[in-house]
Amino acid sequence: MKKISLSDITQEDFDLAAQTVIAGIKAYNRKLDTRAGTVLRDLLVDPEAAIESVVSGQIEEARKSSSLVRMKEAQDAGEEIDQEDVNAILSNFNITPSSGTKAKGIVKVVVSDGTFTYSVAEGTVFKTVSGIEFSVDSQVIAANPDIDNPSVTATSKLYEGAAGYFFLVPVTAVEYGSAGNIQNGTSLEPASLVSSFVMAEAYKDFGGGSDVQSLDSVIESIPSGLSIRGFVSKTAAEGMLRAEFDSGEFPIVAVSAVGYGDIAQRRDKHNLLGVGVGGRIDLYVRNFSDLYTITKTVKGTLAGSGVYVLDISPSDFPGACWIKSVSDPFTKSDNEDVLDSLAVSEDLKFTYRTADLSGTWHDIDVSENASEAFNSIWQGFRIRLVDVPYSYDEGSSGEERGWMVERDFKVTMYCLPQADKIQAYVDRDDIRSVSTDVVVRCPIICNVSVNAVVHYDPKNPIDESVAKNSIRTYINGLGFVGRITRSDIVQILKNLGAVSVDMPNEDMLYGVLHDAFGVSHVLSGDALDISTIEDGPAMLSANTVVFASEESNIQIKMIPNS
Amino acid sequence: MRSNSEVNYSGRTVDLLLLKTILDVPVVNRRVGVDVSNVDGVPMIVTGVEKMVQRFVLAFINAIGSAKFRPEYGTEIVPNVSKGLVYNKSTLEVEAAEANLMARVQVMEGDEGEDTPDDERLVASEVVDLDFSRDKSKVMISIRLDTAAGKSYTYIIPVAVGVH
Repeated sequence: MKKISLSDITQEDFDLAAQTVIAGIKAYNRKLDTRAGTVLRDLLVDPEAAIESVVSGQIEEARKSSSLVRMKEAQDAGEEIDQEDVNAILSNFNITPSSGTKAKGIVKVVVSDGTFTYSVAEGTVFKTVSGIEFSVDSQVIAANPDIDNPSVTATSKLYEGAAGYFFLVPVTAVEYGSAGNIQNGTSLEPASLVSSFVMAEAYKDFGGGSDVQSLDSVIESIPSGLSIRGFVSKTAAEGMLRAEFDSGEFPIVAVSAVGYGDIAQRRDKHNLLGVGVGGRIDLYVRNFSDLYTITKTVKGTLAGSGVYVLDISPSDFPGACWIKSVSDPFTKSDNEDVLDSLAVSEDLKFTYRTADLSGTWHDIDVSENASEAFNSIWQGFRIRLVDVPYSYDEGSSGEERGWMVERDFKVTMYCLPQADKIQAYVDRDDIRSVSTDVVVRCPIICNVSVNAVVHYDPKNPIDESVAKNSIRTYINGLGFVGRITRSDIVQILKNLGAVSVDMPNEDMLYGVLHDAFGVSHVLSGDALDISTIEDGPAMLSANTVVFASEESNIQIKMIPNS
Repeated sequence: MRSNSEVNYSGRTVDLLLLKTILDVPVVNRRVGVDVSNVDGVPMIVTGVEKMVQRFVLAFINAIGSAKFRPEYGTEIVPNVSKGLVYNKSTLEVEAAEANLMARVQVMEGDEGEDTPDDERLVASEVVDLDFSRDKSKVMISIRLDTAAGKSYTYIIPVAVGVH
């Protein structure tokens, strides 16, 4: 709570307090002369009024600090609020607000000499021009694999790139917040000297950074904090998950409980008549703002000319939603230009979901297909890749070109962070409902692209990266809203100062998602409305889908008004 | 209550006595000063013309800007004397005339809208004498105060600051 001093008191406050003191004095003795310039006024009334106004100001501050609504009003009016006050109020409801998360990413350090061994110590700080700092997660020792140096145990390779050599350094933002979600290519400076250093930049978009829970969100979370603790309603389920996970690395953004009567609930229809009987809840959890991915190397088996099959077990990517990319980690050179050029994920239409229910008591029927296990920790994938490039140009026995029988692929999947932990929590003996079977799922992710032309006043320019970031932050902060529209995006841009916004009819908004059967759905136009593609058996409804967007999917053309 | 026996003071508003003034002495000795004669006794109150004199003197010697919520209350004579800006009788004349005017206006503004008795209501004031050299640590300013009751009173106001 802010400490009020005389400098915080306005003339109006003081005059009011003086009138109160004078009224008190007059009530005692009406003959006392309290006009300005009298001794009574100068030496008694005014000092007392000053003290009184400070005390009144402090009481008012205390009142304000004990009301979230009043704090919100003050914040909207531009005042700074004390997070400690917010925490103190929420503690009455057994709620701990999210303190935000730190962004993570990889820094590409470009150096001029390919013969050195480079070491970057844990905790080394890299800083953007705008002052955002990132700390190295653990020591990185990068060496050229072509140079034999037994005295060095390298933890990373030194790659040859277009501008010299480079190595990659995993980092985490020093401060919490979405400001750390910097874009691919953002320039960074190391705090300490790296020998033959040329430059450093963000390698791919950084992600995972989220801000301290907003007051709006805090106020919205109070009903869930006060609700009955048990998996009996969306509000109650959200309250339980928030209490357990909000103070951790992946605070809850939104929860959707799909139960009895919801078209996307299939598990409570396991009876002869196929009618819903209740007792089953699918808990769709959004605990990520920017999309969360896991990348792993997965072995593929040759299944024909240029065809490989990758069997991905549930434990590899728990709570996976869909495949982001499959690429070839065996580049013929380590040149950065070809690192991703061998991506073979252009056509994943042969991908389907699998399931491994061993060890679970949950009621999930996968006798016909694995769709009931979709986006849960029991879901796996079978990916069939076609047109995979040759593995070698000449075989050991002299044959020309061919594919290895087994080889590795780099697979990146969109996942639910901490899916294992959340499912384990709801299954805990002291937590789980005795009457309800609760399965945790990653929401179906509708990956949104935005295309807009922004006209702005040259005297009031709009930063393109800020505009993109604002749109991305908006979309990625949504819960299970079921619909986003052109006007939502236009409003964001106008709030940033856009004079007008044009969005072409065809691809102003474009969204892609995959239902429980793995079927791809495309939405486009001036609104992405999930209700238009609702499908119960495919477990597709507004209650199972969240919108998300990546920086590269937001295209904005900035045009100054002449 | 300090009062003039010729005037009826019943029903008057009163102030605390801080600055002692002496009416029944020759003009040359009518000084205004803090009343230390009754330090250990009960506080005294004042009314009538002496209350008006006290108000005038407080406004005259208060440094303008020193009261946070009454920034225009007071005059600049004390700060200017202490800053060495008053270095001879001529400069003191200017400063005293200006301070007199400001104090008078403030006292008269305080009477506006009030049912102030005539002998407490200031209608004019004038600097009549200045003593710059009597004591090196003070300047003595003699001001004549005229009330609406028609009586004039001249008081010597010492400004006790280091004078260069």
